[in-house]
Amino acid sequence: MNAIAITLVVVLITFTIALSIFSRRFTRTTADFYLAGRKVGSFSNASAISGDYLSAASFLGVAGAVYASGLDGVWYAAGFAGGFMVVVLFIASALRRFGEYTVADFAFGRFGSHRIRLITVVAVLLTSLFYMAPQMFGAGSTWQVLVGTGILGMDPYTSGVVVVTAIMAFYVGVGGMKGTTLNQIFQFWWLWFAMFLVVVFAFGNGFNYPEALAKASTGAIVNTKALTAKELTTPDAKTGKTQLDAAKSIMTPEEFTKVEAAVAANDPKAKIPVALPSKNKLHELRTMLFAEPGHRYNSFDQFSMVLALVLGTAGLPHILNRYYTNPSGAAARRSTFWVLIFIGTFYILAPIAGLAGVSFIKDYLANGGTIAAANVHGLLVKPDQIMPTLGSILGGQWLMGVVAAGAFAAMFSTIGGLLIAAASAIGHDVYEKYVDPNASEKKRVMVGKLSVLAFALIAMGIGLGIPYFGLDQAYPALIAMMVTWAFSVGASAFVPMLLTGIWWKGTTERGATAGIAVGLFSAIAIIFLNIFQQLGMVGKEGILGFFGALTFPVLFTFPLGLLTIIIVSKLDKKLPDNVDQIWMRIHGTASERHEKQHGLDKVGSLLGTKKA
Amino acid sequence: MSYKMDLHSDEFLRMLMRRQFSLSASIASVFIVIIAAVPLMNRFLPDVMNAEFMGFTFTWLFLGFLIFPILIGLAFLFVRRSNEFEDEAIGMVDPATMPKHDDADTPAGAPAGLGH
Repeated sequence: MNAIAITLVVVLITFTIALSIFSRRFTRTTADFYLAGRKVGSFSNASAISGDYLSAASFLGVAGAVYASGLDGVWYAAGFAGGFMVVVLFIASALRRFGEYTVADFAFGRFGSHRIRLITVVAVLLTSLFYMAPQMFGAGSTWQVLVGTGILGMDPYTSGVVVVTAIMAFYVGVGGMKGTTLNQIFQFWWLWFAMFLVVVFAFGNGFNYPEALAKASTGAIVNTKALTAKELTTPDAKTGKTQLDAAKSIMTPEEFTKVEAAVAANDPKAKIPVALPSKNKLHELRTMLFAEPGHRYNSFDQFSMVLALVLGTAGLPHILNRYYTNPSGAAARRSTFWVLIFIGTFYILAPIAGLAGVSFIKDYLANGGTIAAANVHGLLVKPDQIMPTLGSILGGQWLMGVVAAGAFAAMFSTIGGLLIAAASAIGHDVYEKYVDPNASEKKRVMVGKLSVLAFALIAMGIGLGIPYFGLDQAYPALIAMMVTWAFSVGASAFVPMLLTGIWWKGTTERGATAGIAVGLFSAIAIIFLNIFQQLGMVGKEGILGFFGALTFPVLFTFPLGLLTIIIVSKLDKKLPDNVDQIWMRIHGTASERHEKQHGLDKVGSLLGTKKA
Repeated sequence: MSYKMDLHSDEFLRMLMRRQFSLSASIASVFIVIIAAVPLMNRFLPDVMNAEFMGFTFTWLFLGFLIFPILIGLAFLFVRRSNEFEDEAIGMVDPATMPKHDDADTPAGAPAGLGH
């Protein structure tokens, strides 16, 4: 696409690999490989957690959602940040105090059975795969936009997926958690400053936040879609009107002439971009204004979505695992506080960028400017392309390059965290415990590296399968959709177990195992129903149709998992033998005191003064 | 405080846990009220939420800006209060029941190889 942007991305990748190789000399033990030696300070750890957390969905998707839907896009920003409240209030310090390496270790330590460790491992791997899928899809589509050509005879999408997988598997395998942590810190600050720069450039070009918002809200939101001629001319069963009629009501005569010409050409594969009127899903009679809710969500959706994002954050294994790299429970809490500052500022900026997109791109096109991204009626057809497009309009090739590299940084840091989480589930929870408990440290690290490679290959397969099964056609905002699925799976599988395991002594092993299984599989079943429904394989009628239509299964599956744990535990009544000892370790102060004595709780402390 | 508790007693543990939980729960309830109020008010008081306020609609100002300082403030409050609890708790323990330096290295039931 352009030389400077590609150069900046190459610089980012080179630096990333160099950092991994540099960190290699410090990675000797499995604690180093999986946990960066547990010596990550609060500020660094908070940066790394933020890098882990902010993926392409946040970097490209939030601004894109605001650009396309206005206020309903801002919901994502608030929900993503809100998730850390559950983590800091109920989970962070207890998890760290009790844990060894992974969430599966927590489950094993708390409930003392092998089957709960194994079901947790299954849940970790499945949740991570669900989160990996959108990253892979993001890698492929960003490559399509940025590079535009394939390498080694592959198409551009495939090239993106394959290249990103190769880079990631290499650098995570080489650098382990230490290298990944260093990289996540660097990548997080790159993407934070990329977002910051875009906003600064917007203000520098005369952007005024409230004025732009008021201007964007003067008329109803206009939707953009790329549809085939057949989709455009098929009349709606109820109203008898076609999408073409709807487009005609919005588009200018010149714009519409082009659409009619494209329809007349009747190429069955060609996608014709059109502008369409929007409906208010919240208050049917209100005009759908940019600054008001209702473009994407009705009340039910708003609740389910917030619940999914807020609970889901506490159910992401790659985020939870990072808590074990804290030196103490108190440090875990402090890290989370910093995370809220880092991502809070980021999520204030992202909607500004989305709104800036509305005000700049339209004017730019109206004044005869041209952009690489497909557009119609002054609007982008793919809202996820807003960030690089805005970058190039506001700051030319350089800013676009910084933004493109920021998108890759967001993907890399998240994929890195997911690979480490999956590798520790395979290598630490399964291999070291069941396959060869006596393996040498060297061999264990080797297994960790092989697990990274294996998991990366599976994720690559999924990434390549997405367009093959037509998922990208079935869902308009696929990245954001898939991320909320991952949140839903994590929220349903882990959060009920963590909350009850930490705060209710009466939780039994049977209860927790059943709860994980029920939460995990019910969430996955509903997601697949939804996919099959979108692909037209399941009808919209009856009970299957109802569950299939749920975009955010968590509203049902989280309470289901929680109730399962409570009911089964009440019936079972068989508490672990050493439950008092366990309780002491989760809530007691013996270890905290020890940390204080040795000053371990103060590593990297940046918050307030502490009495000795 | 004149009365000191045994570090390993149920009594001490229950006190500590109850205080931490009530702190978490009270901050969580503030958070839940806020996060649930927005969709409810969007539904039932659209004219209030969509009223102009400093050039923004109120709902935009809240979700796009105000909620973040509120979250950060709640988290700050929580971190500070629970650190204070832990410091106070140490003072409530009978020193005779505290572990000596050596056995403090491995708190009850801690996994081997904690790596510090």
